[in-house]
Amino acid sequence: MIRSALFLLSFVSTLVLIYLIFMWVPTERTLGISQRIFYVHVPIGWVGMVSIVVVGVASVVHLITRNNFWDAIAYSAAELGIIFATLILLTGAIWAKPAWGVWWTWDPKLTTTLILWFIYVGYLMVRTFSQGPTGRMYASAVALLGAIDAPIIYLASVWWRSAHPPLNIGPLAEQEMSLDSRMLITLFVAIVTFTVFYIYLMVERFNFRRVEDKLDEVHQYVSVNL
Amino acid sequence: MFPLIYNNFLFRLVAFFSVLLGLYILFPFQIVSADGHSSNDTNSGLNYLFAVFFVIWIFFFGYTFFLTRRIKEMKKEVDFLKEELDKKE
Repeated sequence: MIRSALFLLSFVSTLVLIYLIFMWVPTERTLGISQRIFYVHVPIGWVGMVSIVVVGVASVVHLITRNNFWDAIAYSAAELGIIFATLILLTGAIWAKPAWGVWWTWDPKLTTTLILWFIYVGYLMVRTFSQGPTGRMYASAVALLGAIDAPIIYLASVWWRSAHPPLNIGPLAEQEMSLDSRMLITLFVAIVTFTVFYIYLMVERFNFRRVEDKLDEVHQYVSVNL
Repeated sequence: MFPLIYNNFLFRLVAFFSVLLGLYILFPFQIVSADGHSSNDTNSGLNYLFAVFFVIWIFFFGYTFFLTRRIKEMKKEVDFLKEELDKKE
């Protein structure tokens, strides 16, 4: 029931978002149509950072309780997180070309996001090559590094001189940089859409992960006892 | 039990992306009419916007493909376990 509701909600909100991005929101004067990348790049960045926080929190709870339920949440979030982190970097690079004239620059925000991507890769590599409780513990330690990196990414353009635009949303957003109301509404809808879609994917991946864990347990039982 | 769940899951995912892809194919032709930007204006960044959406869809389809392959592996594993149990019995 919840899964169907999430699917339906993400489907409808995606349709609305596509309409808003392509038909409704005004085109930015300086960047032109390429500015519309903003409405997918920012929500993907948001989801990518939320994901590593989920991985970090679930890993800490798993370290304390040793309950595999939390480990399944951490693993599912990490797997989705690496997809979104890769998309942040790729969509950012594609947008950087018309905006800055280069595909990539070692800007603090870009560099800390790249570090986040490496942390996700590190987490999944540890999980792949080190099975069992020890592997899960080491992976949890890697996830904590990622959770520390998330606020650094958000604050990078505040703390350091950056080519990346200053914060437009959130408590530290600069007032004079506020967006046009239609742009703000589109951004808000985009963030809600991607968040709902992320939750839907998380629920599906988590259930899948639980089945994988059960299957591993049965496999081990069969190989040992029969 | 799980083949029913995940076949259903995949069906929904594929249906979801198919509808969105169809809409995306239709909508870019109308982008420029929204506020008068010319489609011939190469500086407007339409190619970059297209590239971004293309990359996003590729990744989500790729992830769906990855999950499908994993489900097939799990089905093989279940069949293997059934065979093992049958042999022992």
